[in-house]
Amino acid sequence: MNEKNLLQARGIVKRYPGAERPAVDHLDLDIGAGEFLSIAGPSGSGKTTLLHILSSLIQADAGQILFQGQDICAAPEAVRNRLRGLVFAVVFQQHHLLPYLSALENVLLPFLGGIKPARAADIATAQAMLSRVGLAGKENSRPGQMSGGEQQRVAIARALVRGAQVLFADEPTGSLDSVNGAAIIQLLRELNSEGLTVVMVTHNDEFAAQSDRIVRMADGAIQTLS
Amino acid sequence: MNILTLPLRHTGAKWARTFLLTAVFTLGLASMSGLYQVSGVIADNFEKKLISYGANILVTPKRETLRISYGGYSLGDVIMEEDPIDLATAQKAIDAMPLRANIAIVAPKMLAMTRLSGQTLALVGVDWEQELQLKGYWEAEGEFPGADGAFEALAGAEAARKLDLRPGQSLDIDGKTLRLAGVLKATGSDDDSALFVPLKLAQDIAGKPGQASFLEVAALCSGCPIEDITAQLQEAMPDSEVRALIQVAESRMYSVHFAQNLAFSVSLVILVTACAMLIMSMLSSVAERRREIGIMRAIGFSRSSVFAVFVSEALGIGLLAGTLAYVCGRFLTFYVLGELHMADAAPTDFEALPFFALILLAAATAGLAAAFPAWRASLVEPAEALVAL
Repeated sequence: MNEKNLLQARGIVKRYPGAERPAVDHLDLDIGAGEFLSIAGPSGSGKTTLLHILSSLIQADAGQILFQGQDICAAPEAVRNRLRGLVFAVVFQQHHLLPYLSALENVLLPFLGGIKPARAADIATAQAMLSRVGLAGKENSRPGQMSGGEQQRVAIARALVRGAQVLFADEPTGSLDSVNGAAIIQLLRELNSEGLTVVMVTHNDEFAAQSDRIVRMADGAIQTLS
Repeated sequence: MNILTLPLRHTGAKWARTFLLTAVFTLGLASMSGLYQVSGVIADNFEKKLISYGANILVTPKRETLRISYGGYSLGDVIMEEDPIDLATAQKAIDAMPLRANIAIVAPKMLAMTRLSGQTLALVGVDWEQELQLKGYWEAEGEFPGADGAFEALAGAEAARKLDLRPGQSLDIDGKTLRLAGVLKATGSDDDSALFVPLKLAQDIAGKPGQASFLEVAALCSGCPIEDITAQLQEAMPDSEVRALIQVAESRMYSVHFAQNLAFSVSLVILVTACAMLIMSMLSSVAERRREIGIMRAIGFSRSSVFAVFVSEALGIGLLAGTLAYVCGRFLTFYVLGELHMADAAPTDFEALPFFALILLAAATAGLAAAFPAWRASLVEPAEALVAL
């Protein structure tokens, strides 16, 4: 397999009901394994929509998303659920932690899709992941007791706890101050250096510049690659 | 920690909402449980009271009739001699019936004729205790004979008028002196023209000791239909003819069922209201927790897992409410029956079947009520839920 074709978008079109033009318009994109890709562009350019299509959070109206050569758009919902649970990880601008669970329990959440309780190994993995994002000792803290940056780290730990191959980050620093924002980018950079493929949507050129490649979008299409 | 941890933690975090929801649901189920038990006791008591308004089964000796006609001219029917009912045999047969508990009163009657003050009079020999229970609607000038009443009589209104009888007066009947304890107020029935005397005296006059002309039976029909009781009576007394006074039985059961149906209807309204509140609460919870649902879906929860989270939350509330409702329902039953001066009839023992039935009902109702909101939750698209915020 070519390094460039871990994830490929081919002729992707997405039009929201009532919209004048497509949010994503016949877009092609290749993402390589272990790449750190930033998708930049003005508001309404379609970058978030593209990220959601790539991560299988939403379905494209037309086109293909090939993951390791397999079209995931045509896959049944159960397969897409499994992809989101095991292979893809998504973090958002808002951390979206469950306020009534501790940091450790939030990170364990992906293990709780069934009636079987989380195993001791799962708990150990979650604790290790919290340590990896620099939150050792914060396992029992509730989201309300943590800073915005810490909460975003918990969200990243939760996204990656099941060993995802690709992390999709939608404006992960958008709700953070510059110091915490820079720390999150640094964390993503470290995770990427450990082999994680990162696809990040950002408005911030300074943060985008830290990625391997920048895709700039406008009007639902890619304008430039750098 | 498993998927059930989520509804458990959420209900704990939203304890005020959980408390109110559980309280409303408990109130609905407790009212239902309490009304069910109260209506059962009241219906039972009501029916026992109704038996004092007369018999609903009549047992008469089998009779043979002969139709006489000659040359096309009918001379009418002639009743062949009938054997009276032997009371000892009848009592034994009734006691052996499987539905014996449903036989509340057996009031034997012996009919005889006598002359008093130069007039012919119908004597009705009765067992005072049974008769007075059966004729709770009787009112008398003077007093009713006592349970023993071996030398007392009771005159119907019309008979007393014809013979100019007064309470307390002595009557000489077939060589026996009886005291007229009272005169019945007019009932509009055959009772008005009869003179009621002790059963034994009427048997002696008729020359049929230990026997009865017929039996009036009051049966409790709330547990089983009158047809079953009459069938068993008929089987127990094959030489007699057993007839249900269907109109009496049905009007009586109508009254009993009315009380039960009223309680059931009220309970149903309360339960439906509680369910509506649960549905509304769950729907608002789904709207409030769209972000949470979006996260679950984004990290790989299937639609059925999201559905399970919401339904199990409702099931938990249902199970808790069902348990509390059983306890509260018991207290409600005691309270209401106490207010109705029927506390003695309140059920005191723990009964497993109603308890588990209530728990099951509570869980099933809560689960069903939550099904639609949970289904709505399962349809939430992760991207829409998360990006819209």
